[in-house]
Amino acid sequence: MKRSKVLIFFAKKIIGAVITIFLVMSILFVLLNSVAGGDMVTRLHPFASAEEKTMLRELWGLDRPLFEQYVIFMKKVFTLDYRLTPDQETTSMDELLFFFPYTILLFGTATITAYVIGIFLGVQLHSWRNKGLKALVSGFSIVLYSVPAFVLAISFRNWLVFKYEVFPPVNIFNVEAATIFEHFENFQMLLPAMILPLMVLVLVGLARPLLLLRDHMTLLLDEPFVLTARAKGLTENTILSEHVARCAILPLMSDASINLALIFSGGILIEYIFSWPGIGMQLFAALKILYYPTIAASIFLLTVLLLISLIIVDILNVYLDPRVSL
Amino acid sequence: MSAIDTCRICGREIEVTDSLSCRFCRAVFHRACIVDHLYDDRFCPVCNNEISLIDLAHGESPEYTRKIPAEIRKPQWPQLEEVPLFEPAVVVKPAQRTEYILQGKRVSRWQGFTSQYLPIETLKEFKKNKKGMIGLYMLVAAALVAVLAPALILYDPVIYMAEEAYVYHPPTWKYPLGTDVFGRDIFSQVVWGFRNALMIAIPSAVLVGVIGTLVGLVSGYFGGIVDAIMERISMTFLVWPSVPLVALIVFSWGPYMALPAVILGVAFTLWPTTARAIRAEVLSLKGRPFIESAKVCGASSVRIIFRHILPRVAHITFLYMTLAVASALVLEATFNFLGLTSPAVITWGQMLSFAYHSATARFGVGGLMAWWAVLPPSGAIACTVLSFFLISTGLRESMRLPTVSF
Repeated sequence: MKRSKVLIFFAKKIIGAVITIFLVMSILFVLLNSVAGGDMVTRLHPFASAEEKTMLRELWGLDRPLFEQYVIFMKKVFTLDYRLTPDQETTSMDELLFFFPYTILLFGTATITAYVIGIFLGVQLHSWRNKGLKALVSGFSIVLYSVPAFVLAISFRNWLVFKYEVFPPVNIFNVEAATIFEHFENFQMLLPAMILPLMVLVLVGLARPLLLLRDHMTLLLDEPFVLTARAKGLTENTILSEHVARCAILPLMSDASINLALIFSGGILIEYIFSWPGIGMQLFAALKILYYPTIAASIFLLTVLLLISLIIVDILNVYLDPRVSL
Repeated sequence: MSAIDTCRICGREIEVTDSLSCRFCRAVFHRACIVDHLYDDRFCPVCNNEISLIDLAHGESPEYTRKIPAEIRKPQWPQLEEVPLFEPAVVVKPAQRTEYILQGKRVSRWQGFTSQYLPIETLKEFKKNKKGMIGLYMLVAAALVAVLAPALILYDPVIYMAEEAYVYHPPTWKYPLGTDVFGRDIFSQVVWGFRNALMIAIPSAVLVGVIGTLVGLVSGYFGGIVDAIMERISMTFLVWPSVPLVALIVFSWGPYMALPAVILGVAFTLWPTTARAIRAEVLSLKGRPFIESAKVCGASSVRIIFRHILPRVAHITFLYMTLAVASALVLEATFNFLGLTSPAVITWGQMLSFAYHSATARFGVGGLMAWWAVLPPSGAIACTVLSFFLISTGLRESMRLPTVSF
């Protein structure tokens, strides 16, 4: 692979990502401006006097025409200036970046685990002789997929955390962790509480890779190269895992880009139920009181996170599939 | 009119023998000028009335003014008896109806029309497919329940029944599935929920199908800059998290518009998936010879897209619409749980979240939900989602398509 090709690939991806962020934040601007009940000042300081409101409007640039407000908003978005007043020391972005590792910890682990288990089970499903067991596994994953995730999450939490006290809830958490060491201590404290949300996320996310892989493998089993492999005298397990599964994983990668988006938007719910200290939780709390800087910052951060993981998926796709080049 | 005048077109001096004047405005022109003017125009250059060569007077133009009627008469038609009856010489035949012929057999219009979009082989295969037919029967049953809901419910599902003995009561003969905290019969609520579930699911599926198909067709067919723009837009909607989107729409429209907001939110976040699948299919169809021949015949791109390509990708649209229904129901329950919709509308998600919130209010955080309040609505959601899922599986198997995307 040439170096210039890699550079062009990244340049394309980054330009596309910037345009996407721009569009996402434009939609956010439209939505925030269409919220009923007055503008940002009336929302955040409903009982302030008229003079104070005019002062705040001048400070935040809300007395200018809409287009100028849009320009100011975009400037703030891309300079990561998510705060109400210029003298505010910590921006909303700083607060969210504090919770960023914990979101990554939960959802990164969950996604990778779900995909690994799903791929493993999908391959295994073909080598099992027991038809009833096969139907059981695939039926179980479909039912888990079709029941709303929050029912599962709440029931698990109520039984296993509160009634039988198998897993601890998230109750010890150092909110003022500053160094990496303190963050690491936080990780250690959170690990026992992470098991349950992880389990729910894996159970819900299992169905997609599992069924997709199973379908693709069923189609691939009729291909001539499988016949060749069988004629060579390879064992059935080797054929499935080495030859068929490798081909069947490729469409899984392109599907992952869509699945990731769903995981991130569904994550807000899981974080809310298990009171997991993450970006989704902060976003939801901000949505309740309509605290504009945090809403904008967390949507920006979620978008960036998703775009980065999509780029990673693309790179993995190139690495796995010889037909695709950068 | 004097003997020396100027032509109104070329502005030069004119001789009477050489002049023509407009009978409306009496402007004078050279003969050559006006003929040249009328060669590619029908109107007098001065007064803009429609004129032809016979409206031009030679020499001194006669007095001519248009008569303006003093009063406007009603048009008088001859009496019906006075109108002679003519036998029309040429009998106008009724327009030839398109005949659909499938596999050598003439079929009905309806069957022929649908076969354009769902090929008949697919339907035959689908009828043989066990999973797909079970899903279809389940869906028909759900639709029947939704239609017959007023007859099936035992009690009013909305009004609170403050019967002390039957508030939050496990199933009995009087209340077959128990009651919730407000004393509302859960069975009736579940039955009523079928209506709202279909009311949410079907519009969002239609929106997903229409937007996704249009965008996929356009971006796949035109390619280039259009494709790049569409790709960016669909990426934008793909990465927008659905919860804040719906929350902000509900905040701006008010809780009474919660259902439309949910439908819109579901449609907005799900159409990019459809658009991507359609685009990939269109890209593979675009290079086929029949598109080439349509282009050679002079078909416009709109015609090619809608008459030649659309019938060949419609089955993918149906597939994604069934999947959108499943996602819509689950997402609606999620939004309900987060408190983004109106509590006055009885849906299954509303029942589930109400069970959770009432248990939390009664027993504190971590209070166990009553099983009779959780199992029926979640079972109903699971059954409906499962029916659409089975239909899409059956469709896919009968179309021999490899992609599962849900």
